[in-house]
Amino acid sequence: MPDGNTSRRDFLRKSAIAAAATTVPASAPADPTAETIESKFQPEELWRDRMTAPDDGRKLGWFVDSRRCFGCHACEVSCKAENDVPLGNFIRQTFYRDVGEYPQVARMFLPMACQHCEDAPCIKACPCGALHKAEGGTVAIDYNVCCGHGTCVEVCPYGAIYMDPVAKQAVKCHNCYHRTEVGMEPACVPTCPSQALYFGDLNDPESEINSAMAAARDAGAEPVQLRDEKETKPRMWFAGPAPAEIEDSIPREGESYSGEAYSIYNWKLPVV
Amino acid sequence: MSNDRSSRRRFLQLGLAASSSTALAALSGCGQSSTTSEGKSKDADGNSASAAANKDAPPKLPGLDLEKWKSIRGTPYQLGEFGAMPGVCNLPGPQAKRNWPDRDKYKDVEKIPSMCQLCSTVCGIVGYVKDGRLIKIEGNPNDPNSRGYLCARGQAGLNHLYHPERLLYPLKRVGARGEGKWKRITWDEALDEIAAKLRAVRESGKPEEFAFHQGRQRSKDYIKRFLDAFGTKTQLSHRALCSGNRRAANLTYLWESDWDLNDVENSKYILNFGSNAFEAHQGHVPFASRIQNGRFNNGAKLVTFDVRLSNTAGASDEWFAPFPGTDGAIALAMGHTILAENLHDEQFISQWTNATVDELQELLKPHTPEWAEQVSGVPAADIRRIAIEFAKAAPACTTMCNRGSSAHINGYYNDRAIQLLNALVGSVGKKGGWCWSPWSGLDPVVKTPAMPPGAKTWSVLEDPPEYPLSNVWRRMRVGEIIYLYLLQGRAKLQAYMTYNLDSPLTWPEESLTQQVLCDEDLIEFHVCINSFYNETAHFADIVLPWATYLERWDLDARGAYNLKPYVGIRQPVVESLGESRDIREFFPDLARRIGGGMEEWFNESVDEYMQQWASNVPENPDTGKRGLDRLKEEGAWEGDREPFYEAYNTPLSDEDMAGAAVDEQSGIITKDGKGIGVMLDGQPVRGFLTPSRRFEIRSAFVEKIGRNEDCSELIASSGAKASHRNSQHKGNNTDISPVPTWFQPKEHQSLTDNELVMTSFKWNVHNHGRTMNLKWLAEIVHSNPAWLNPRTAEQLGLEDGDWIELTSYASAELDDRSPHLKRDDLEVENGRKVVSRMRVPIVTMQGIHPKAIAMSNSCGHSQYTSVAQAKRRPPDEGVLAGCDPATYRDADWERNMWWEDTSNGDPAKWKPNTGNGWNQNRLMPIAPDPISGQQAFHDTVVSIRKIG
Repeated sequence: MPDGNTSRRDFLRKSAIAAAATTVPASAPADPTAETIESKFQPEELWRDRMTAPDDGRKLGWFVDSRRCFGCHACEVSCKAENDVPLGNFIRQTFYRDVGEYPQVARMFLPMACQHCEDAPCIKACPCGALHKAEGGTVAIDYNVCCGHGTCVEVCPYGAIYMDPVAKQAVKCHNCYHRTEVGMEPACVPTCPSQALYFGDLNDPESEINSAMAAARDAGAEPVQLRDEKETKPRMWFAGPAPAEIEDSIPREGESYSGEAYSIYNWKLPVV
Repeated sequence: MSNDRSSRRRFLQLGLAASSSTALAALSGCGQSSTTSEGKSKDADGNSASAAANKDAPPKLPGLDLEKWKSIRGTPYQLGEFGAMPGVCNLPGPQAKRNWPDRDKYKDVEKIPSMCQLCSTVCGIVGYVKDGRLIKIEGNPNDPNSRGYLCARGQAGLNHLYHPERLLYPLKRVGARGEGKWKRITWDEALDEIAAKLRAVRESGKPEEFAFHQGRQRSKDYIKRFLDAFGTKTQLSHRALCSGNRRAANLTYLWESDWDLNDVENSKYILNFGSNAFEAHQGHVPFASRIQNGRFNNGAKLVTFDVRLSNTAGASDEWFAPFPGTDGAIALAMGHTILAENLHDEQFISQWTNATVDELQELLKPHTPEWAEQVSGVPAADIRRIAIEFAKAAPACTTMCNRGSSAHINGYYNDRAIQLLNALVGSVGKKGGWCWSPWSGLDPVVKTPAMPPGAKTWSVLEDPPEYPLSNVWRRMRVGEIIYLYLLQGRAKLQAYMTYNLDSPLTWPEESLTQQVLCDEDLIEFHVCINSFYNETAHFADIVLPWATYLERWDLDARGAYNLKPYVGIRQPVVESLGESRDIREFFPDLARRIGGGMEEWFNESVDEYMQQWASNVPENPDTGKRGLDRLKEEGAWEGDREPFYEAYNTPLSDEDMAGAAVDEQSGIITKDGKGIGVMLDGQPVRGFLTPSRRFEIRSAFVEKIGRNEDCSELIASSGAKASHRNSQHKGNNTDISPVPTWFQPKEHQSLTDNELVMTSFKWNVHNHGRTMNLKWLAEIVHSNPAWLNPRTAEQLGLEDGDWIELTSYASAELDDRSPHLKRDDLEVENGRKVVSRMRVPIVTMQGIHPKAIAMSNSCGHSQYTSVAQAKRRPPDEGVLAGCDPATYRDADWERNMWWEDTSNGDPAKWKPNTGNGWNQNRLMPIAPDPISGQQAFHDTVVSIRKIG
């Protein structure tokens, strides 16, 4: 192996590894203070049960190998098709960032969606009692209950929830449980030509997600989490330098994914 | 109106669905509520609209802000008469979601394997069909090439099939050509009129004046059948706009194949010259997925040379930005380095090429890395370093290239120089190396029903005498010259049938293309076959509604990266909507109406034809199914051949050698006057299929054929098909270098400060002219500001988002080399001939060479549905005559298309990331490589001027 593919771009490696040793912290000062976020939480007795997944022995999670991703958007379009997501709204989105200066430039890609946090703030903040943990820890919405209050959007540290413009209900990744229950994978996973997306049971040592994470670790690309100082215990890990480089483009509390992320003018560092 | 009514029912392919919104709710696949145009609705539980309305009173819950709840209410979507269709957003109407996602969505679905055709990679797909409606497309893991992966385009197929502005009925022009006035006619009327015209052409004794012009076609067998039965050889294509130079370079070396299949999955080093395999490429998904496996599972390094930072370049281990068109110079310098460092494969060169190391040293002597640095701007030290790394990884190393290096005036030489590197290091045909397969498409075990004898006509449009390599091995043709030759009066068309073609958008010189298409003296009669009303249909006399790829039959395959052939099937996943039909359905009917014997070739039904074609597909022992039945069930079949590695070393059998003669001097083995192999160390082996039976670094054939000299002996000793140029080529002599070389187009040698070289590119969510109508893709990319390096922008006083006027110029190099292209009508400015001008905004990007400017294709539609034009509503009732807008609408895009441009063309009011972009081909001159005829899309000199 001439140089090692984990090296990718030397000029990137330095910054990426420094920043991404264990976690990728939020770049901006913790916006609405933690206190403000917490003030939106319901009393614990109202969400304690919903925060506990039915125990089926599984711990479902995601691994995104951003080293492999080449930004093809297949996962997003498959998700749109699967879930009939209206234009302008997104359950998942792939972010781009051009890093470096000519002639030393690289392009980073980061597919993002709900992190299915173990300590999910959206569940704590949901006044209707719709957000809950489903089997395996999937953070799901009960649409017999969701009445569109939107507090979940305000507290999600990853901007992974949108309010449907018409139904006035919250919509987010549900791990395609309607597919996994019948033996299919979530819509975004099998289509990925770069094999960057892995979904599965972290409790199963044989699972593909565990082997993929182990392989990344062996190659020196230790899986990290995004904004884990938010202490929501996300169930998504990332390998490669992209999370550190792109973190500042990912929506935050009170935001949702938007079509503007696709604008080529936004592939660059945000102008301060 | 009963006709209308029944056709709408046919459109839906559903008996009673229209009368039952409950059924619709179930069909919608999400169990969510549906709404009819009358506003009545029921949700999945059968609750009535009024019950749903009661839900407006939210449950009393702690923390609920009732005022906020009321304030965020949305306006319900308005759906068409028949409710929601998959792919047309049927997210909740006025009611809340209830049971979502629907756990029963995939209950009772039928899984129908087929093949995608939203680009030419033709990946295997599986259509999930419920109650006659396609509800989801996934990749087909049985497909040996794409292995179950599918790109964003493939995932957007629902938008294609269920597009409210899809053509469903034949149209006849009622206004002037190009005016956009149409009336709906029956298929009977349409076919009668077309047949009368074609019969007249046939009887005129000039059948070649009927031209068939395909954009992209995957029904090769059937189109050829129709044209040969008719008696015209004037089949025009887009190959020269795509891949002519790469093919010609491969053929020069190999003869056997025009398509290198780089064995990247098993490689250790991948040297990429300008290919954007991660976004486009004819092998996109199969190729890209294997590159990543090669890198992350096999430790390969990927190095990319590209003028612009494509996603492939951006994700490579290293990227270098050469000056446009200098790939060949860099490759020659790498060859120089490999020899200088003594890293070449002495044995391969001496045994398997027809050049000696000494000759190669002599040839590459002047091409030092320092020389290459001068022309390309890439540091000599990097060229040297990469060349050494590449050679040290041999034989598991390969180059890859495509339009980035080949779509140049010197593209043939670029690609020959690049491919030479594999011979120098001996990676040709090796595992992990630079490979190919003789079965580039379908496994040869499948045979079409008997074909008519080939037509014998000649047309300057199909075989232009100025381009020596365009048709000698394969019919590559030179598509981009046809409108110019028609305008010059070098040919005339009595009838012109276009098929899946969008030439006003995808051909160079948009205005010339439009002018010729509009001229009824040059093109007397134009039938357009397409699924959507596009820019070509706009200039037709009759438009036929073509079935989509999800409603058609083909056996198909693509250059197989497993290096063994396979057979895939394209089969209807649903019945054709409306009155749309495939050529397999209406060509027989048309042939019968034309008559004169051609109908004899159209006796089989589609099913009989497909059965016969697939009959040799062997039985699957597990299912007992064979032939068409097996393909229909599995979607694809790959035989158990060995991968095509080092086939040149294959020994010839005694049977092969019986009656064969060996030439003492060359070792070439012939039998019955045809080459069959070559002696290697005293043993007869297959060798390469070239005249020398070796990898031909020195090609006597290209040199001679360029001068129209006799090549009979060369052709005889080769093992492949090749022919002399037609007698009409006499006098058109072109110097083709027998050995790799490189030159720089004149106009690139002296650029002023405000002159740049324009390059073009494709996005990962679009093919060229056929996907901007798909809303999920258009949402991601709909516009194409011009990329400019920030340093260049600063020098020119430009900032991000500023608008410029681009002026494009014709090639001075081609003025010399191709005088037949010369145009007197072009204005001269600063010594350059002006082709066109266009105003666009810029985006400054670090990832582009400072002397280049990049604009994507695919944007700037003026037709092709309101989505492609970034409009919420169809602009013109006239063009909807062939659609069924009353059937259903897409409330999603009417309401939610956030990128509609409201600036009315005023740059000051334009907002970034809105609108439908600009057609880059307005600026591109017609510029064929003088050797193969490939259009030089990346060489145009433009000047820029700030506006506003």
